[in-house]
Amino acid sequence: MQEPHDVFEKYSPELRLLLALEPEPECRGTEADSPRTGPAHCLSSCPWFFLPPATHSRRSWDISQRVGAFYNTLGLMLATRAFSLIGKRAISTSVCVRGGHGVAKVEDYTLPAYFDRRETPLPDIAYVQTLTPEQKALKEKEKGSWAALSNAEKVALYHLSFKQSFAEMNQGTGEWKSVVGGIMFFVGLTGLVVLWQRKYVYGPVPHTLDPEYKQQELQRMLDMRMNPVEGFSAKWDYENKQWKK
Amino acid sequence: MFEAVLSKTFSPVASRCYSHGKVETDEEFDARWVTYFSKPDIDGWELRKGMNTLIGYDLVPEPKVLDSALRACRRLNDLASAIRILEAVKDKAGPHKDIYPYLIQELQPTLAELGISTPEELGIDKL
Repeated sequence: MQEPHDVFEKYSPELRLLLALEPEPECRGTEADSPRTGPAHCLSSCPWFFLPPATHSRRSWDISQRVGAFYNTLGLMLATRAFSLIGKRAISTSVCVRGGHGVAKVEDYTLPAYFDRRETPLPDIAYVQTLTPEQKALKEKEKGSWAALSNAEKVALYHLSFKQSFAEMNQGTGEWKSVVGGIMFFVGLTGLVVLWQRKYVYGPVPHTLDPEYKQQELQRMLDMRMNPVEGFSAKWDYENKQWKK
Repeated sequence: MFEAVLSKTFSPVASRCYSHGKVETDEEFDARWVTYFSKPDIDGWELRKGMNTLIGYDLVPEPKVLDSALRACRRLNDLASAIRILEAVKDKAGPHKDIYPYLIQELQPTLAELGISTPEELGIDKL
């Protein structure tokens, strides 16, 4: 592809891979591979937990990915030279370059998956993988003029590739109502527990909270002229022995 | 359109957000993406990668970039992706409700030529 100001143009493809300048084209799979499996060596070199669900990023300078890419490239260069006679198709089914013991089992979670995401409008795979004959016929019709397709057919094609439209994926769930309801329920329950505790668990409060005692405290505070300028005693009218109006 | 200052994918001058570094202009950015999608033998992966990357940026793509992408969908015989692209840019505009109608207005000749229906025409913009 045309990249303006690309001084690395003259580097060989292997060197470009080595320098992690490009995502590895082999990771996209070859014509011969089915859509859901890529070359085994590529998948085994990219642990699923390193990769975001979308495809490789050109600018992943993460050290572990570069190291992985480096070893993968070395292995790839060996593999391509060794198996060029067998053909491209064989790379995905022949000996894994890592162990050399046989084909590693490809775990389902390592394969590209379908996601409906706002930030990734075109997921790695189509939603419907196995097509019925009618759907295949529709796909053939898609190769012709799109104006010849009816609206229903266009919607059908859309739903072959995608599970939910943007409107559907963005809709709210109403889960918040359950959450708020749950919060209120548990707060209420806690309130009942607290009331029960006050009645049945806690003993009597100290005598210092009796009304008579509190009155004596209040009288003492006024006698001491506590906060006489702006606070407590300032509000007491000493002449008339009452609170100031 | 709202475009942030971005670094190029690879260039000899690191154009990050340094004040002294080389900054890519909007026209260069648009031209680069138009070129990307205009590749005659573009494959599905490149289309998806390009679109997902473009949507990742803090901007709504210019009509000419989208035109190039829609034509790439046509070369790949992928109507579903074309409609999805339109949905994605509408979603990308967010609260700025006037951007999407402008884009559709600018893309109308291309949509008519290629026979792409908008999500509104197909009714998939509603639930």
